Amino acid sequence: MSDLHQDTSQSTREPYLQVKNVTKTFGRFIALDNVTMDVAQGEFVCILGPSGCGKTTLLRVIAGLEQHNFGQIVQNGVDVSHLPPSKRDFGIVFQSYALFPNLTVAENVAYGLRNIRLPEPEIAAKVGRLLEMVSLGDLRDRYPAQLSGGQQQRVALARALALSPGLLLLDEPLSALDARVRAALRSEIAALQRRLGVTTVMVTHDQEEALSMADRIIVMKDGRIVQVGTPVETYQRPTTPFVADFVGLMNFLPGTMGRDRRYVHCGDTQLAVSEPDESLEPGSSVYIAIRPEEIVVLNELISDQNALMAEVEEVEFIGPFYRLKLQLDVQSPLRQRPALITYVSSSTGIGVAKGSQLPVYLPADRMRVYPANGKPAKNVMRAA
Amino acid sequence: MKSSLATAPTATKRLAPASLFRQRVKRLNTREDWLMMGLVLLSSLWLLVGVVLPLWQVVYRSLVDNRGNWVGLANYQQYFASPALSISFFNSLTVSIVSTLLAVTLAFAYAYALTRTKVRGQSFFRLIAMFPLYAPSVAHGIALLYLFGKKGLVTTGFLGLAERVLGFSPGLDIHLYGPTGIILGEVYYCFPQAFIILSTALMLSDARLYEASISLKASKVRTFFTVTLPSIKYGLISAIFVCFTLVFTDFGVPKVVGGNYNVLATDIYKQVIGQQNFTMGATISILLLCPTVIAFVIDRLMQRRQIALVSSRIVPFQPQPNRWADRFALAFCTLIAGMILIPLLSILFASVLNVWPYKLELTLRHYDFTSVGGGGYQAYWNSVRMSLYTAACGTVVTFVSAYLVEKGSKMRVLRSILYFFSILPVALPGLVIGLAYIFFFNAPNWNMGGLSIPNPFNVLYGTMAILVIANIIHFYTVSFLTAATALKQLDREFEPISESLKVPFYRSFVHITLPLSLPAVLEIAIYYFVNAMVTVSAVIFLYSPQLKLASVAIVNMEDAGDTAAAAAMSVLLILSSMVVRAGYGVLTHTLYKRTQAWRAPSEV
Repeated sequence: MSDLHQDTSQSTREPYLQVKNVTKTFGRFIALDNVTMDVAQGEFVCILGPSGCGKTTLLRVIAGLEQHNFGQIVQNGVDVSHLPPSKRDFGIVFQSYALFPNLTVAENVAYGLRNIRLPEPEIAAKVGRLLEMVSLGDLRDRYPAQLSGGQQQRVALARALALSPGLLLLDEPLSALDARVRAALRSEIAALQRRLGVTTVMVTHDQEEALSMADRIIVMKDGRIVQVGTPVETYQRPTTPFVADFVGLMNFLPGTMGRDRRYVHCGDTQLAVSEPDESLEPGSSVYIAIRPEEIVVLNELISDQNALMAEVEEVEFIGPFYRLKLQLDVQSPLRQRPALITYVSSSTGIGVAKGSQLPVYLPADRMRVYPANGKPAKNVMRAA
Repeated sequence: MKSSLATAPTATKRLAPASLFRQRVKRLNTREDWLMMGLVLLSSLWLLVGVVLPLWQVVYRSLVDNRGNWVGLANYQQYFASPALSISFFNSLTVSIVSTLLAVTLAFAYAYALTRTKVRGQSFFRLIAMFPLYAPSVAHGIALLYLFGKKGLVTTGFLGLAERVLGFSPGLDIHLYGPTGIILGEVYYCFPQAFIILSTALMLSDARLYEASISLKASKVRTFFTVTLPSIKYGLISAIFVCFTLVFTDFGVPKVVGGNYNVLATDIYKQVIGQQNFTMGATISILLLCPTVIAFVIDRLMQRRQIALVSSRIVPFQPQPNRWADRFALAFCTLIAGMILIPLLSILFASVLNVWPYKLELTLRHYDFTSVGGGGYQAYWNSVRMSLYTAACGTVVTFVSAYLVEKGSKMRVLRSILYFFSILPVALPGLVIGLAYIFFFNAPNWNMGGLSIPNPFNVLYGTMAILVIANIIHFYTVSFLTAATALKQLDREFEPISESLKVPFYRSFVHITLPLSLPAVLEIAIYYFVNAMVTVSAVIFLYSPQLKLASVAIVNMEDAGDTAAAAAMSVLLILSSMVVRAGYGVLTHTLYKRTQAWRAPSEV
């Protein structure tokens, strides 16, 4: 589905929304540094990044709530760079819901409709349809203070869609909700978006949200876009250690590139890697990255280069699985032996105990190699 | 993946368009934007005419002689060279410091008893503490006359009654006229202000700190000095500066009980009204202004630091019952409440007794003001009208300005300048505002580099309008900050949401912002009304003979020796303010009930 979107955007039609070389500064701070991105008609794009990366600024620039300094924003073929928000075509939902507390649910949704002087029966019908759409039909006369957080956010969504905007902007819409409501609303919003086919840009710092909802993810860091791709691409093939670390959990092992680039020296051990990167010089310092779930815990050590013994350093019971912190049995010039995190299902009942020895296998086709100068966010390991 | 990576910026892509887009992107202004900018300019003009230009006149007039020749600082030299004049400056400082210390100490003890013990009748004691606000400061002076003056109740031993019963005279002459009287009166005058600030500060203290202190086995005394005092530090500083400014610039109390003890405020009055020496009036005004501006600057700097302290969530302190502490608190609060009520009651008595202290039969003849000067009921109704106009216009102007400053989107720099000049008036004594307005509004022409143009604001001079403007500016800062605080509490995203829904800002202002801020709006209106009713200093230079005012009438009647009539007028003012205040209480209560559905979140 996402590939299809990209194909149409690349060949037949212009993208619905184009952000071209947009730069935005606050005083001497560069919030957006020459950002360029496209969103196809009907596409759901997530802008993902840590706080302070400029993702919210980008969304506000698209909406016209912040004025960018340089660059161009084209929506539906029209350059809207100079236009104030009221002259642009979008609906927006904020993290704080920002429902008007003195208006009922129905009045909140009708707020924009009243202003364009629609006849009252038409407004009532439209409000009814919008509230049905977010399954809040029976709460129309309640005030926001009488609703739960999830209900409030659904009202905010209905209000944002009331004027049938061409573009829906979501600014961390789920961050203020508790975990269960968040998961439910996640799929609800995604389903609604696909049903309406409204082009959507959502800002989030929650990688799980981005992975589960988006057609395409744009990862940002320090005011720049660092990777664009489908959720699967972004997770499977992070182009930088930063993305690898930020999207999902990643183990990083320090090493040195082997002579023919098919091996990486990790202490006194050689690990085979596939997909050797031509840009990496033999002998240069690198990081091997492997996700916890890609590590295979063996029953007994097999004779393979990538099979190693490890000592269990920590065992944490999570419920469905155990989270293990392992120390690879590798002699390393560093004082500490390289550590890895992996999971074993709690139903298989391997009697893993702290201090026990465990054979593990690191599949060569799962390991990515990054130059060591692009160090991951945390030194070696991202804590769960 | 390749196709999607193509949209990411690459090194070559980043260089090429830079030349294309070097032009900064400018926002087009809509009609709404122009309206918003027009309103910001309008409120700038308002503060320019209401504060900046008149104030500049005072500064300028203190640097020229009576004929308008530039003399530099000669007026100040003359002031300090003349001991008869300069002694007032030090007198003012002395009474201000002593009164401030006394008022803040008493208000702190009272507030502490009400917030930190389970004393009975809390709301009653809170109500009583507010009473002095409803009387002009000159009325506090008159009350003192009836208690401690030559024929006062205390001085004469209850008018000789005690002597007849006890057989000896317990009369006590405290030598009221002079610093004693001023200090006593000023303590009454600024007690409620200090109480409001300190009780708020005490209520905002975090209970968890006390629990921590108890669990660490700290003694009560140590807890007081290490937890209580630091947590109300900013409130305490604020209370001290507010009281100091009030006393330093007050005119009513020293006018009545000052005797030969001159202070700056009465000096300005004498120079301007008595000797028509406007130059010296301006010079003394600047001297009056200096300490208040310094206090203002220090207070602002302190408040800026406080923000982090208040914004963190606190668990409010809940006092535990303690028999002896509660009893002691009750005794203390009763004593203070009594001391607040006795002067007010003595005014009431004095106003209904035939001839104090000789003919003690009850009469309402002092409430018939026809035989005395000052303007009588005409003046009273003028005061009511003026206060209503001040409340109505002031609330609109203040709230709209605060909205533009807090929620506006255009002209960032001008809006922050607006903010500064909106909080500045708190440092301006009423007399200085009055004098400044004489200079600015009374001038028939403006001389600009030899060019003389007619003053467009001259028509306001001597009218109701100038009185209303002076009152609004005099009480502007507190009202403005009330509005700004209420607006700050609204969700920042309301305006973006409205814009995205294509609703113009003025519609959202009417439908969302205003209803949500209604409690603050009403509070501002009542604040303007009560203060305009009792103020003397801001209007005493500005009222015209055709437009006499009740508070000024009290001063003039007292001056002419018609003290009982002055007391009667004071009673009228106090009762009016109380009635309005009670009406406000009923109004907010019903309002709260009607809007409860969306204010109080119900359990879902």
